[in-house]
Amino acid sequence: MASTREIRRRIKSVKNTAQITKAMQMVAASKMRKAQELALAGRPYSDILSSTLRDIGETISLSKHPLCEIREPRSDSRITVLVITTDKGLCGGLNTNLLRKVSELNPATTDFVTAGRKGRQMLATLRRSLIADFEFGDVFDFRKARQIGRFLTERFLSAQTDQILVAYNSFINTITQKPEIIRLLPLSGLMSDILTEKPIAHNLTSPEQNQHAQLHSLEYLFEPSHQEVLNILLPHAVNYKIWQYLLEAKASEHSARMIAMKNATDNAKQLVKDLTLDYNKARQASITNEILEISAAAAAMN
Amino acid sequence: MKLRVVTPTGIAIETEAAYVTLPGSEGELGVYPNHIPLVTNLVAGELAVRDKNGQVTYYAIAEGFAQIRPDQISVLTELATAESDIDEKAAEEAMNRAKLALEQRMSDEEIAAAEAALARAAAQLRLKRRNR
Repeated sequence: MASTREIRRRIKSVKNTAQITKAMQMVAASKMRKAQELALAGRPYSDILSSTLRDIGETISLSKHPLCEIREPRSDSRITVLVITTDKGLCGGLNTNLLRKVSELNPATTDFVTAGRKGRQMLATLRRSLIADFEFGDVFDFRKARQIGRFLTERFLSAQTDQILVAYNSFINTITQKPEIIRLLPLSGLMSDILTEKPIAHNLTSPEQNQHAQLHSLEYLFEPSHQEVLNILLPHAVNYKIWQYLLEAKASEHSARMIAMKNATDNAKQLVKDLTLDYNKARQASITNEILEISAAAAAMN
Repeated sequence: MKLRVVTPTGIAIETEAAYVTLPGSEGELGVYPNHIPLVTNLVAGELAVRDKNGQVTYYAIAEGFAQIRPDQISVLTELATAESDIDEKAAEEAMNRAKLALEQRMSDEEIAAAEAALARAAAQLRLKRRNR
């Protein structure tokens, strides 16, 4: 059995670790709350944006817009994937799960754009074709999404790529995050994606559903012209989708980190408990030994 | 009819309105119930809501979109501030910052962003000062 001093030293060090992970858990928890609020607050906007697009799609054919163009698959078709990961580790299997899914894509025809340091490191190690890297810290604004959106849109419009996908961890709740790969461009087919997207607060959707049959027949006018409206609305929709993905990825990151750190703290506490037991055993054993020695010595003197 | 103004940070306004004016890209747009279905771009400016008692409330909004249906108006914009919430000093500072930014050499995108910021701040200030 280890000496009492050694055990005492280990207990001390485990306690220190527990203190650190506990602190990280608290930090992650507060960031998580903010990130979750932001991610959820954005949903009504994206919902109305989607329903507007859907309604417009009833009136005019969106498929003629360049952002909606579906290109026939060819032998040299290329796809571009935006991979949204975290900058830092210590968040459980979050990045690993996502990157495992991403690595199933054919490396020969896929180009990667990363947001987040972990994804960049991983894809660079795997020697995939990495064409751009965007950094977004813990705090970022809509401009970041616009920047990424513009880069990807230009790439799509200049026919350097035929499809743009986004890989990110969608936020379901604090305990569950799901790695997902979703198509961003071309936008057509987006209408059906949108229809199946998570419904938001019910008071928003229910009156709409009642009148849905009636609304379907509405013919919309456009001001100044449908071209001009679409030229602003569609790129904005793309940027907004990216923004929502970034927010969800952040919410997922902080949730996963909080849980990972909570587990680490719990484990450390259990370890301290076990070690304390060992320590007490060792201490008692040494006391018994001493008594034994003393009484043996006393017996020998008599 | 129902008016709903939504920003990325949540639902800013949700109310019953008898008459609404919007800052359309082609000029001010007045909407009564049973308006013809319309989708339009909005510029930064003033949104006025008159309820059924004739009470008018003003808001400063950023550029965005409006979807108008006979019984409902949905406005998507990045910012909506009630007149009483406008911080004159902050708006003024924002305007100065935007002007300063415009003087520097920048990429097209940065210029667009600064111009948008300038238009927003200006819209807030106009609304706040007009009623004096």
